[in-house]
Amino acid sequence: MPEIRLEGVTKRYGKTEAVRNLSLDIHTGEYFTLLGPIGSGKTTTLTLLAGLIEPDEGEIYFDGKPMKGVPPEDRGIGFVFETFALFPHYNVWENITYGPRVKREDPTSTKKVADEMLEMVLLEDRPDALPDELSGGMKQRAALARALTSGARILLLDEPLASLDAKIRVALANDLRRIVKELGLTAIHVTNGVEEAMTISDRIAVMRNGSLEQVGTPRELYENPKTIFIMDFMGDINLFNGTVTRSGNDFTEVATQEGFRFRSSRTTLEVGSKVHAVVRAEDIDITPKGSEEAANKLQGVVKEKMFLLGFMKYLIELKTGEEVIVEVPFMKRERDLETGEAIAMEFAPQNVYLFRREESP
Amino acid sequence: MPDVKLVNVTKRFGSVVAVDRLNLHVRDGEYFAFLGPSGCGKTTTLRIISGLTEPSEGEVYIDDRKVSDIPPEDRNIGLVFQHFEIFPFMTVYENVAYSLTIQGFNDEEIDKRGHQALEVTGLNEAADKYPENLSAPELQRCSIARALAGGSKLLLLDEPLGSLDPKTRERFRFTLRSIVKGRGLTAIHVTHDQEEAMAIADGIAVFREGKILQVGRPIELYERPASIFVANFVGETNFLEGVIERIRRKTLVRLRGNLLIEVGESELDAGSRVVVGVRRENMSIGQSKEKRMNSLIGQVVRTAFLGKLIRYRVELENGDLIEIKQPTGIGKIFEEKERAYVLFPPDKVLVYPYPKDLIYELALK
Amino acid sequence: MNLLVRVEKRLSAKRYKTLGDALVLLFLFIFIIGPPLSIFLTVLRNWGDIYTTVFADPFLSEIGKGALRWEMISTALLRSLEIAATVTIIDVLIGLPMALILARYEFRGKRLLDTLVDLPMVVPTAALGFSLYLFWGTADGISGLLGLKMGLASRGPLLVILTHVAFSYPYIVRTLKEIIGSVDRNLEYAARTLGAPPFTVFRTVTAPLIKNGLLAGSILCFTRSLGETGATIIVAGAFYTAPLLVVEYRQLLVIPPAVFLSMILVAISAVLLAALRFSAERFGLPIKGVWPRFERLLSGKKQRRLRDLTTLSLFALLVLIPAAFILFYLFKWWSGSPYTGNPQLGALYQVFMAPDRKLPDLLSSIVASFQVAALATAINIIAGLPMAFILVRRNLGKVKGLLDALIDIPLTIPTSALGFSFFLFWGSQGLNLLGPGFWMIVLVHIGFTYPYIVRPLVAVVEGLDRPMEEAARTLGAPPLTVFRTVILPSMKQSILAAAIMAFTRSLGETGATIVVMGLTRTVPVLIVQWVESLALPAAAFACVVLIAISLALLLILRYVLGWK
Repeated sequence: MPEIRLEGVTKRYGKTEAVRNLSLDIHTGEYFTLLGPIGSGKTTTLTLLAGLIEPDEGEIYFDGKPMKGVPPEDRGIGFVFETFALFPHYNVWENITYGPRVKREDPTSTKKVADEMLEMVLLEDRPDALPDELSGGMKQRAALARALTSGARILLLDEPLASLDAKIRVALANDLRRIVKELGLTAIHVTNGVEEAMTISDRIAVMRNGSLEQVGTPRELYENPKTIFIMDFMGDINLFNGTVTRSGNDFTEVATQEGFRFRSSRTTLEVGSKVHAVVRAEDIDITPKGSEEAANKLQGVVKEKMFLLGFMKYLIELKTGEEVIVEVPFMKRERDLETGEAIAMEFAPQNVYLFRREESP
Repeated sequence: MPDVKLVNVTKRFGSVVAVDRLNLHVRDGEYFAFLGPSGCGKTTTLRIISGLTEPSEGEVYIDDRKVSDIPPEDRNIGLVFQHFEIFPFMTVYENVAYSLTIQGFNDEEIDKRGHQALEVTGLNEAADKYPENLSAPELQRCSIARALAGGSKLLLLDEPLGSLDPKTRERFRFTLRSIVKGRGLTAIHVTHDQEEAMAIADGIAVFREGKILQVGRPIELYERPASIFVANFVGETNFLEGVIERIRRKTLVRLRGNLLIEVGESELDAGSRVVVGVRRENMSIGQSKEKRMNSLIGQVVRTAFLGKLIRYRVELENGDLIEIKQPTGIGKIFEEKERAYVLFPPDKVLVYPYPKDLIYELALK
Repeated sequence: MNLLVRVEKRLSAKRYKTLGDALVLLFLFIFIIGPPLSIFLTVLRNWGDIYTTVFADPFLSEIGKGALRWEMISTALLRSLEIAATVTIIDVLIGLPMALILARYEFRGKRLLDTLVDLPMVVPTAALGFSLYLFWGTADGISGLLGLKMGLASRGPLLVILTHVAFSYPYIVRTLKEIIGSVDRNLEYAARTLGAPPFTVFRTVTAPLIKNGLLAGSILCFTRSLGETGATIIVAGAFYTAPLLVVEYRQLLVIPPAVFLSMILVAISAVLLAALRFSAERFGLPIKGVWPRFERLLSGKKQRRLRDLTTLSLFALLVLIPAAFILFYLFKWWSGSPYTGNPQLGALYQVFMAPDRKLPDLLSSIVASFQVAALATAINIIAGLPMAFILVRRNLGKVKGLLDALIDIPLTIPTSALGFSFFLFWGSQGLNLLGPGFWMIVLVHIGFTYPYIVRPLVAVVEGLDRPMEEAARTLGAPPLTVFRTVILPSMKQSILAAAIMAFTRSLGETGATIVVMGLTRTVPVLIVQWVESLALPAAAFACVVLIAISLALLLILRYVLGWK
C-alpha cells in the first residue's frame, strides 16, 4: 500500500508560485488533511498528486516510485471533486462502475465491489437515479462510491463537504473517515474548515501562500503551534505586542504596549526581545472578583455577547480601549454576563504563547 | 419602525408547496433569523417579504400596512444577497449611491448619505475602487452599505455570509450585528447554518418543508427545542429510545438493554414509548459515577481533539452510540478503548413521545 | 424622485409592456418571416401558371421537353443536397479537432488562430469565392506552384465543394468550440482519475455531452452549404446548384419556376430547422464498447501532436491560404499581366485609368453597401433587443420553441430564395409597395441579419445576472430604470459585438442582393459583374478592398470582446 512523498515540489502559474518548495510525507493508511485559506496552494497540491498537472520542480513518489510523467489514469488514485463531477448522462450505477468498465475489469467482481460501495455510502436503493435527481449529500456519496469502486488505494478529496449544508457536513465527515479506515485506504483531504480537519484527520498540514506552515496531529498543532497564523486560523486569539522584561528557566515576563504585564511559562526569551503575546479566547477565565495570585489579569466591560453551541462568546472592552474575545463553555459558566457589566479576567502562564516580532514598516 | 407580519402566507410552484400557511411576527428592531435546511422555504419567504416573489395566498404587512400591491422598488427595504450582486461597472461609491440617485435626492444629500453609509460599513478608503479590486468581505460590506444608504430600516439578508471563508464568516457576524443594532434596524437573516443563527439573532424561526416548527430566542431553542427535528437540527443532540417509568416521585426512562436514567418532570404517562435527547455539550465524561447525575458506563470508540474541545464517541453497554463534546482542560483526556462514565444531569434531558416516523424526524432536510 | 425615473416607472406598467411586445412581434412577422412564408401563398395563388411553366411548358412541349424546367429544378436540388452532405462530412472531420484545440489548449497566438478560423464567416462571399477560384482554378494559383499550365479544378462541382468546405468550416468549429468549452472539465478529470486515457474520456464523457452541439453544427453546416449563393455564382460555371438556378430564372425574368424553386428551398430549410430541434435526443454514440488499448495509442503525446499538426495543415490548405490568395493575385496582376506585360490587363489600369471608369462605380457601391448595412443593423438592434428579452424572460411555454425556430428562418433559407421571396412580397406580385432598388435591398438585409443580432443577444440575456436586477429593484428602481441603469451597461459590449457581426455580414451579402437590386449596386454585386465581364484584376481589387474593410471590422470586434 502506498506511502506518498513530495520533495521540493514547486508549481508556477505565470509568475505566481502556487506551491513553493513543498516537501511532505504521508503514511500508508493515514487520513491526512491539507488545511489552509483560499490561495494557500492546497488544491494545487492535490491536483499535482493526481497527475492532472505536473510540477515545475521537485518530485512526487508513490510507494517509492517516481510519478513524473505518469498520467492520472495510471496512478491508482480516486478523486472526489468539490462539485462532485458526476457524469450527467449516466445514472448512479453507470457512474460508479465507470472506472472498472473502462479498465475492462471482470463484470462479476465489479458488480460485487460496486454493490458493497453503494451500501457503504448508503445509496443502495438509488442505483438507477440520474445525478440531477439526487440531493447534494447524495451526490457527494455517489462521487465517493465512484472513486472507491475504481479500486484506488489513495483517495484524494477536494473540499468534498464545501457545497453541503452545515449540518450535513458533520455527519458526512464522520462517514468519510469511517469508510476510509474500514477499507484501509490512504486519504488526502483538502479543506479550509478547521473543525472538519480536526475531527477527521490523523495529521494535518497547514498551508499558507503555497508553503507549509506546520504538519502535525490536531493536538500537536493546537498545543504547539509554530506560528501565530496557525493559532489565528484555528480559533479566536487575542494578540498583544510587547517586550520581554524578565526571563528565567521556565518563565518569561512581558510588558505590552498597552501597559499590561504577562507571564508565560512556555518559552524563555532574552530580555529586550520584541514579541507578540498571544492568548486563546478559550483560555481566558472570567472571575467576578479577581484573585490576587493570578499571574495574568485583565479588566474590562462586556461589549457584545454571542450564544454559540456549547460556548458563550464575549467581546470585552478593556480600559485601554482594546477588545479581547473570551469564550466560556457552558459547563464552566455559572451565569451569563450582561452587556455593560464590568468583569475581571485571568489566564494561566502556560496559555501565553510568545512569538518573536519584527519591526514592520 | 418596521415590523413585519406574515398572515397565512402560502406559495406554490406548480404542485410544490414551498411555503405553507406561514404566520409570523418580527418585531421592530429585532435581529431575526430564518433557519432551516436547503429547500425549506426560508429564502422564498424572504423574497415574498421583499416583493420579488408574489405569494399565492396570504398577506404581508410591513408596519401594519398591507404590501401585496406594492412592487419591490416601493417597499423601502434593503436586500443583501449571498453573491453580493454589486454592479461591476460602477465604483463602490456609485453602487452605494444608486438608490439615492433613483430617489432623486440632490447632489449634496446624496453625497452626505452615501458617505455616511460608507462610514458605517468601514469602506471610506475603498469608495473609488471597482468591484473587481475588492475582497469578498469588502464586497459584502459594499452590498450592505448600498442596501442601507437609501434609508430603509428593514434589512433582509439572504445567506449573506455564505460566500465567505469560515474565519471571515465568524468575524463578520459581529460586524453585521453591530451595524444593525447601531442603526436601530430590523433585520431578517436567512441561513442554513444553525451556529450562525444562534450566534447572531435575537429571535429565530426554524423552517422545515415550508412550515415554521418553532420560534424563539436562541437559548430557548437550545434548552427547550419543541421537536426532535429542532433538537437535532439546532445544536448537536444524542438520541436514545426508551419507555417511561415512575418510581416514587421520580420520572425515569428505561433505555434499551435495561439501562435506567432519571429525567426531569414529564406529563407523559408511565409506559409511553419515548425518545430522549441530551445535548452533546451537556454530557461529560468521567472516571467514576457522580451523585445527582445519570452515570452510564461505556467504552470510548473515538477521541477527536478539536483544540478547545474534545469529541468523544462512546459505546454504551446496550450498544447505543453517543457523542460527547467536552471542553479541554476539564479532567483527563480519555484514549480510545478506555472505559469511562457518561455523565449528564436529569434536568438537561429532553423527552419526546416516540414519533410515527423517527427516521423522518431525525433527517436533516 | 428623479424625473427620468418617474417616466420609466409609468412606462413600466403592464399595458405598455404588452404594447411593446405586440410591436416587436409584429415587426418579426411583417419584416422577417412574412416574406419567406408568403411564398407558399404565392405558389398557391399562381399554381396554374407555375404548373404549366415548370411541368408542361407549351413551347417546350413541342420538342418533347414539356417538363424540362422540372428536370432542371430537380437536378439542381439533388446536386445541392449531395454537395451539402459531402461538405458537412468533410467539415466535421477537419473541424472537430480544430474546435478541440481552440477550446482546450492555451498557447500564444491562440487568439490569432481563433480570428483566422472565423475569417470565412465575415469575409464577403463573392470575394472569398473569387479568391478560391483563383487559387484552385487558375494557373496563377496552386497549380502554378506545381508547374502546371491550368488550374487544378475548373469551374464546376469539385470547386464548389472546395468552396463550400471553406465557407461552412467556421460554423462547425464555432458551434463545437462553444459546446466543448461548456463541458465541465472536472468531468473529464474525474474520468481520467478513474483510469480512462484521454481519447476514451472524449468518447465516453465529452462526446455524449456535446452530441447535441455536434448535430446542430452539422445541420448548420449543411444548411450553409445548401444556401450558398454568392461565391457559388463565381465558381460553379455551368454547373447549376438550386440557389443559382433561382438567380438565373430571376435574371431571365422567368418568374414562375423561380417562385416554385424558392418555395421548395424554403420548405427544405423549414424541415432542416425542425430536424435541428427535434432529433437531437435520439442521436447515440458508441459508449458501451470500450477499446482501451487502441485508444491509449491515440492518446499519446506524440499522437496528439501529429493530430494537431494535421488539423492545422488542413485548415491552412483548405481554408486559410485559398482565402488569402486573392492578395497574392492582386499583387501579381497589379501593374499588368505577369505573362505578357500588357498594362491594360493590370488592376491599376482597369480600376483607375480605363475609359469605363470603374473607380466611381466602386466608390458609390461602397457607400451603398455601408448605407444598407448601417440601416439594417440599426433597425435590427432596435427591434431585436426587445425580442431577445421576450424569448428569454416571458413565460411562453410551448410557443417559445416555435418563436425560436421562426427567428432562425432567414438563416436557413438560401439567400437567393430569401431575396426572391422579399422581391415577391414587397413588389408587384405582393403588397406592391416597392420596386427593386435601394429600399428593397435594405428590407432584404434587415431580413437576413435579424437572426445574427437576435441570437447572440439571446445568449447574453440568458446570461444576465438576475439577482443583480433584483438588487436594483429593492434599491428603488422600477423595471425600465433597471433596464437602463443596470442591464444595458452590462450588455454594451455584446450589443456592439452583435452589431458588428451583422454589419459585416450585410456588407458581404451577395445572393439575395443580386435578386432584388435595381440600379443600386453593392460591392459584392459589383464584384460578380466584373468577374462575369472578365475584368478579373479589377474584381480582385474590389475584393481586396472589401476584405480589408471586413477584416478591420472583425478586428474591432475582437478588441471589443477582449474587454470582457
